[in-house]
Amino acid sequence: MGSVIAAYSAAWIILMAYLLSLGARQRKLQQALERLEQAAESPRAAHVR
Amino acid sequence: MPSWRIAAAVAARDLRIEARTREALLAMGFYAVLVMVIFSFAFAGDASLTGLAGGGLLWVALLFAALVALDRSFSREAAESSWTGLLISPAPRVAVLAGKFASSFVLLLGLEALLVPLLAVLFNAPRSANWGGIAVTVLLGSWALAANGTYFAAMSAHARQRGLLLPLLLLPVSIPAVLAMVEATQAYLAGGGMANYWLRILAGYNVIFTALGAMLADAVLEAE
Amino acid sequence: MSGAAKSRWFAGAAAATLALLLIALYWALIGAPTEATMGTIQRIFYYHVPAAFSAWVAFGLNAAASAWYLARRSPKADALAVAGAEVGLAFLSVNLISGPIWAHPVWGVWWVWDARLTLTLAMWVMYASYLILRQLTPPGSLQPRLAAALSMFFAADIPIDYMAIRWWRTQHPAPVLFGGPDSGLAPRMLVALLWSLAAFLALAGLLMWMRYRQALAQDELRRRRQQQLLAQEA
Repeated sequence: MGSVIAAYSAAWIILMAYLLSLGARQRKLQQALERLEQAAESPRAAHVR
Repeated sequence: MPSWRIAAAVAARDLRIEARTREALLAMGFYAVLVMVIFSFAFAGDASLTGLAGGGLLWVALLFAALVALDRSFSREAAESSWTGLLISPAPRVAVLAGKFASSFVLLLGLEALLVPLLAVLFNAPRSANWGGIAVTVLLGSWALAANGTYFAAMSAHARQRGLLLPLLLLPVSIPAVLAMVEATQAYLAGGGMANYWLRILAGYNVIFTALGAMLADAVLEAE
Repeated sequence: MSGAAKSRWFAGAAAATLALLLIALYWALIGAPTEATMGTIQRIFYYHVPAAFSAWVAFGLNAAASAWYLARRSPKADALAVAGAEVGLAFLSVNLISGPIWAHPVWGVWWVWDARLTLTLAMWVMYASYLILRQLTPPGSLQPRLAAALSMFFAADIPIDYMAIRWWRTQHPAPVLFGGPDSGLAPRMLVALLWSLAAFLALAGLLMWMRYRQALAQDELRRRRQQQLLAQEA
């Protein structure tokens, strides 16, 4: 049974790790989009370099 | 200008440069010989073992050398304005790629002329070895490496870590070809007959991937 | 579909996927009978096989999307391609790890160079190199184009690989190993397998959908950034 648990756990860990990485990337994406919105609304801010 | 002329011009230019500086042949040659020698240490000089692995060792050495040659064939271009000019021109991409392929192919064949006799000597290849068969295998195998190698060298020329990316792209796709090359060489060394099937796989591989590379040449050679 | 409706739909799909995964887990661990020869370890099969199948579906979508991209240069095609490759590689990894865990007690070895394993390993390396290519090339028009071309090479390569490796194995037979994972399936085992298959395919679909949306959003972000840069320089 131990091997079965090991195999199933490995599967879940890999798939959850991928899911979590998607989540992390999504958060960064949201933040970047928000920053872009803010920069667009204040055209005097010239810091995008 | 007809395509084949463009291809020939590209190939001739590359080979002329290589002949003048002789850098590539020396680098590739030394690298390949070194690889063969070092790797055979792994077999502790046991003649029977090296006899079993001769085919594999030859092709490992050739793979290393091919990577050197292929990387060179595109790295040099980045600095030359003539290359950009060529890409901007209406010259069909296939022709340019074909020229690059031809020069790499010729370089590899030149290298094999050195390596195969070396293989025979180092591994005490038996009299019964089928050298004609080995010659054909070498020809087909070099074609496979040069064809896909040229395509992926062009592809990785666009990327960061170009030198790292080329083997990462080339080797996985080359798995069936390498399998065939090694098995055929080994079979011919042992004087066996199973090699024919491997040669057919290799020939089929070459047809398919040369065609594919030609069809997809534009994807990989557009000037950015 | 409005934004709110989409989120509700997604939440529903996620909940359904979770439910399927739990049902499948129940069947795999309890519902299915214990196999006669191998014993409990045979249950790994209920994760090992659906993972491979899901990977193949994902890679198939990658191939189709790549061809579509080369034909139409559609950003949606590229988004689907990268989603298929990433999710496929994740599921193939599950397959490649569960295999040896199963094999070691049953065959006595972690690995054999038999046709199926060798091909799976070759595919893993291929799609890993695909993702590395994407990582190392600039986004925009270059990365999708190169990646799509590479994917076409894989599509041509995998059938040849299969033939060559199978012949290779006929020439050099692997040690005789019996008790392969698909030797005789009792009805309740088939049910367990089907639940697992459904669950894994649902999860694969969900993850691909998420990655697809994310790829489109990343592309959108990049384009807006470019626009903003151009506007500032004006």
